This record gives sequence, C-alpha cells and structure tokens, in this order.
Amino acid sequence: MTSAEVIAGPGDGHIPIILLAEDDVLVRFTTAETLREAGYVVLEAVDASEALALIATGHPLDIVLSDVRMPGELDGVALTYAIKKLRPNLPIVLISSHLDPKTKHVGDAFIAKPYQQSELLELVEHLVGAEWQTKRSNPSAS
Amino acid sequence: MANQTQQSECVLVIDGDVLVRHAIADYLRNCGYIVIEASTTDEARTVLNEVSLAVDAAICDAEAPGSLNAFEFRAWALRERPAVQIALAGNIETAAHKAAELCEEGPQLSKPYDPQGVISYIRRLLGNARSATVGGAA
Repeated sequence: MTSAEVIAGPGDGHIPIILLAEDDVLVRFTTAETLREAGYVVLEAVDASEALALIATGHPLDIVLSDVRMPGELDGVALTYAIKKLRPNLPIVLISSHLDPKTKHVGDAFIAKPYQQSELLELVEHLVGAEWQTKRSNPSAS
Repeated sequence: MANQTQQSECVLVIDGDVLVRHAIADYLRNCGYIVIEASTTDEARTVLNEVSLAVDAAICDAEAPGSLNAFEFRAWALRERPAVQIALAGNIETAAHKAAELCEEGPQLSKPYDPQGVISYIRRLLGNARSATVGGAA
C-alpha cells in the first residue's frame, strides 16, 4: 500500500501534497526531503513533461513548486500555463535565480534562488492554508 | 544536502518513467527508507559521487536512459562504489519485488510488504495517465 492510495481529497484534512519539478537531482532531493521532514508528501518530477505526467494520473495535489529553467520542451513558465489549464485552482510557486519581472508574476508566488529552506517552508505553509496547520498542531481536531 | 539520520538506510531508485519511479520510491519510503529518485544513470552517478549522501542500495531499471546504459552503470558503480548493492530490474514486477526484498530486510521489520500492491498501483497510474492523454487532458 502506498501513501498516495490512502490520501483523501483536498480540503479533507489530509497531508498536503506537493509536486516538485526541478532538474538538478541534488537540489530536488534536498528540497523534497526538507519538505517531507516538515510533514508534506512530495512527488518529484525532473522536468515539465514528468510533472504533467504525474498530473495526468489525477493524483491529488495541493501545490506545485517548479524551477523556471528546466530542460525539455517546456520550462517552468510554460509548465505553469499548462497546469493552469488543467487545474486552475492549484497554487504554483516558481523558483529561479533570475528575477525576471514577467516570470515573477506568472505563478501564484515566486521565490528567488538562493533561498533559505525556512523561506520555502514558510511560503508553502502560507499557500496550503491555515486549516491543515491547525489540524497538524491539534490532530484530535480533525 | 538533506541530513540523513544514522538509522535510516538510503535507496537510490533509477527509472526514466516518472510514474514507475514515483511508485517504487513511495513504496520504499513507506517502509522507512530514505529514497533518492534519479531519472537517468547520469543523475544516479551524480548522487553516488556526492560524498554527503550515503547510499546503501540502488534499484535501476534495465532500460534506464543516460550516457551509460544500465549494465554499464552497474559496472561503474561496482567499481567506484562497491559497497552499494545494485539491482537491475527488467520490468515493473521485478522492480517491485526488489523493493519488497529491501522492505523485508529493513529498516522497519514490523509489517509485511506485498509487491503486488505496488504493481497494481503502478498499473493504475499508467492507466489514468493514458486515459488522460487520450482524452486530451495533458
């Protein structure tokens, strides 16, 4: 049995699920483990096509974190537009070391590299909402 | 790099298909392993060359993409990282059974792990993805 099979839908007090698209394997692993240690479920994609393949499965997701510069046909900006067509309410955070004003406002939030892991966690916590935070701090309430 | 706890063993999963890789990795995490996901043998070599990551075992798809094929990668790993157990998997079933063997060895020995569950899960993921593609969802 995998964790993905037992997770309820969004808004049901489930553990928030993050899709992380990042082409650097070491950055991807480090970021994903930081998020897992903070209590999130993380799905990892190496590029936009993998991210879209995971989305196409219908897997529940609460937030997408995507690097802007990735190999392949779609970069993080194009991936954002593609996801917004499929799941318009899914928050997307773009991550880049290049602060392009146009890029900055494509997603729902932007975080510039280099960043502290605490900055990323704070942003994710903000975007997944207060409901889950309350349930995490007081599990008996759920 | 993320801190690896001394108790947690680390498995590297190498597969070019994100759905298979995700399912095998998720299965291994559920039985207590730290799992690093690599989509190519090049990513796998980057991981094994990173001294801060202590990888104990690797499951590699026999058709994993990369500048080294899976057999060349295994030969490289046996030469450069002889302490890492490398298992080649020719199909989903073999990968699931290799993962189940690792789960039976540890790090959590308290519950049985049925490889058929992860095989079924992978098939459902692949089926959903194909349906969405045919339907034009992605």
